[in-house]
Amino acid sequence: MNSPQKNSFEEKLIRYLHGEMGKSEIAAFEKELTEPGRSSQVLDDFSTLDIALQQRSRPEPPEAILDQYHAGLKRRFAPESRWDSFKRFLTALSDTLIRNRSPWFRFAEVAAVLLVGILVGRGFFFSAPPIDSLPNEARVYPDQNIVDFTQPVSRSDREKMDRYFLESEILLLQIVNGNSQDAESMELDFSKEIAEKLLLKTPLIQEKAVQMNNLYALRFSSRMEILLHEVANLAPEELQEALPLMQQIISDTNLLMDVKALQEMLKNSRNADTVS
Amino acid sequence: MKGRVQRIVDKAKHGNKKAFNQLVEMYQDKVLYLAFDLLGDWDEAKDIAQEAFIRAYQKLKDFQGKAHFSSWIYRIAVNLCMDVHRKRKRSPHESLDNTLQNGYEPKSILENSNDTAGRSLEQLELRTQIDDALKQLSLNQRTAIVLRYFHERSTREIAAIMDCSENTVRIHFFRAMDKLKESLKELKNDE
Repeated sequence: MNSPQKNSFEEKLIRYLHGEMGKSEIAAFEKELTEPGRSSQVLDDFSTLDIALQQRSRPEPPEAILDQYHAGLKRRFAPESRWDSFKRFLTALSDTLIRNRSPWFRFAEVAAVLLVGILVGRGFFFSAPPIDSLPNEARVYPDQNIVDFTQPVSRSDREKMDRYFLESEILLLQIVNGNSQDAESMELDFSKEIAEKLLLKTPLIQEKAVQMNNLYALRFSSRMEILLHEVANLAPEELQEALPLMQQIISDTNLLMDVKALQEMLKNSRNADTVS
Repeated sequence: MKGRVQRIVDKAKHGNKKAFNQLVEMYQDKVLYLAFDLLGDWDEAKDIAQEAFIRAYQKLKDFQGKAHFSSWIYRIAVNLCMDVHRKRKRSPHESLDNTLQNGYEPKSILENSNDTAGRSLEQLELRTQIDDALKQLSLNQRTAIVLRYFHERSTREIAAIMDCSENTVRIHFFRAMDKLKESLKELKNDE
């Protein structure tokens, strides 16, 4: 059965059966079948089988299995929505961070959670009324621009405000650059002195801000007032605990950026006066 | 010019999951039927077919596009079925024959009323015998028959799927047909 001659006949027979022969090959093979020792019976049997196999109907899978199969493939390969993709990214990111976290990372995590908790707690239980809803809001002077120093500013008022913003900036920088472990780094006495001075000036600044209908200046001075009270009443032994909180408040409320913006606005206002 | 499937394959190779999903949808049923035709058990066929797509996804970058994608995925499925067959051989309680007797349905031909209506009892008996005889074939012979008659693959495609020459495929055919013929003769003699 494995001899080359026999194999050759087998191959030819199958090629003949499957229609893989050219015309000349078919003629040669059919001639070969008539030779003594060859029987065309095998071809007849194979042809019968060939037809029967082609007629076999396809069995159908149980519905439950087909559903499971399709669902499984869909779960694995169906394209993700953007949201799914984002969730996967976040999961991968958190997995990476959690797997690789060091004790310092854990410490930082705990510290961040505590800090957020303290800030949220303070905001929730001791929140001051929002600046935007103060009675002297835009509705008092509804037709005027509340963003900029567009109202006329007298020279003396401008100088007072300029001085207030400058001293506020100095104090804010003192706090931001202060080290809670080193009371001297913040020059506490000096800072307290500035804070007390600024506290005395704050009502006047707020009054001027309302007159000028400048909500920006009003909001800044109100926020600053809270901080000034903190600094003015700060005892040296409280510094270690209070300083990081004050630094966080300054950072969260953008006080330093605000004071810079206000100084710039005032400067532009002065330039406008000069031009006019 | 590249065909549609080849363009989808190219996209999938560049990491486009949507394109690969298109390929899955195109071939999922064919691969499931192929696994069933070779293993005779739907549950096992389902697992093998899923595994075939997972392997295809993992090895897609190795697919050079010399053969048709369907031949490539069929080849993965056939190789997985061969692995299952080898495991069954090592485990006497789960031989292929046993599973085929339990899971494979020779009735599938008989049960098709459209197919059977008007046909002679002799023909029905012949086809039942063919199904029974299919269980007796070696996996290579069975694969060749299944791919040719149940999945309409050419000899060249079958050779690519089975990773052998076209002549070897023809030998598998011949021997499979010879066995089927002998089974029929034995049955006639029994009658």
